[in-house]
Amino acid sequence: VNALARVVASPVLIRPCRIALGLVLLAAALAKIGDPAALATQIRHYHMMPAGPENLLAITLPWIELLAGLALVLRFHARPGAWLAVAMMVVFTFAVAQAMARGLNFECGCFGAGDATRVGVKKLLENLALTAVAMVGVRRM
Amino acid sequence: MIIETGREREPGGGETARGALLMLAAGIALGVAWNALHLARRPPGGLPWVARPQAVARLGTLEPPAGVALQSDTVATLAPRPTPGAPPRAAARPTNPAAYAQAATGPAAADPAPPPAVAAPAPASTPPVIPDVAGPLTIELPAFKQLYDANAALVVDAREPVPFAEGHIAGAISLPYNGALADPDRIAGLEPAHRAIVVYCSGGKCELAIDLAKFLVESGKRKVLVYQGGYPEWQAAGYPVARGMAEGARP
Repeated sequence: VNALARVVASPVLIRPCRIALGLVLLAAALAKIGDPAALATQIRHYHMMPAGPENLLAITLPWIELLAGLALVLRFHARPGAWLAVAMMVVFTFAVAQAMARGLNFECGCFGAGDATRVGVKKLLENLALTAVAMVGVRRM
Repeated sequence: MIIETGREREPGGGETARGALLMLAAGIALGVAWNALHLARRPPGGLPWVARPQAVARLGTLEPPAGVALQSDTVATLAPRPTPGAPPRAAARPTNPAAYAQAATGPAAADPAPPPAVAAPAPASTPPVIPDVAGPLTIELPAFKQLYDANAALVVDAREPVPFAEGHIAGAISLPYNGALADPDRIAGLEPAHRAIVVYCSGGKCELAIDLAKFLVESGKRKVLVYQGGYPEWQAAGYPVARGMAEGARP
């Protein structure tokens, strides 16, 4: 257990985790940033919030992803970026889980309108894995 | 005890939290600025700051008076055109004239886009079946069935191919919402006959159908209707259904 803890805490693991996380966030951000209208539609499919603020989220979310992704990839304020990533991944995971629990079936919109992955077990596991990677990424090194 | 590691450790929790908040604020600011820039352009792009409620006006239910046989009525006599501004014909539905007024005025309020060249009102003597207004209207099962029986509407299934194959309204074509976004050519080729287009999905709130209907309207289609009861209601009513991917086949 001690050895495992040391591996998780070592820069050898933390650094690639941050880079990978950053790349995923960048891909997600760039896919969505040009079409907030499509993103707003996808957000509405989740039925998670009143209709009013959905547009604001669609307008800002890709930019937050972009900044966090850039910070992680460029290793410039990477740790705050990883924290943001954890926060986002927790919310995304919850969003997918609640959609599944309600029996909703739609495309997740995670990587823009061209991404046909549907909300489901696969997406949930993907998000959980990314959350785990992000949690490693927030470790101080 | 101080351990010499040869490099500085990363900042601790407090500073990291501050950094994360700053990053969040910067992201929000960038997004807002970007959208403001696009809203300011001519023609305006970007998104309105606050989403409009997903309201779709209802087409009057168009139910015939009790005792009138459905099949003997033509759709046209059952669906008088609600001319905007004019009072609805009292004889058509004396109990609920407001439904027509709502159908006539609702979509203009619900649709953010300016109505692209609303057709001039037809002469009162030839009432069209479906009001030609900008923005989709919803349609209830009885009225839809009349359109269906008269073959006066293109029926579009907004669900994914798998549920479509498992069962759909006989004669419907499959046009999943996300697929439609990716295939403007197919949209352009839809329904050259200018019949009404009725979009349905799996009932409930039926976002897919509403979104697809709005997209069709934005793509220049007219007389777009949303049948919100969807496949479950249609099937429960015992009306014709079909299985498999074959499109447009009616019994």
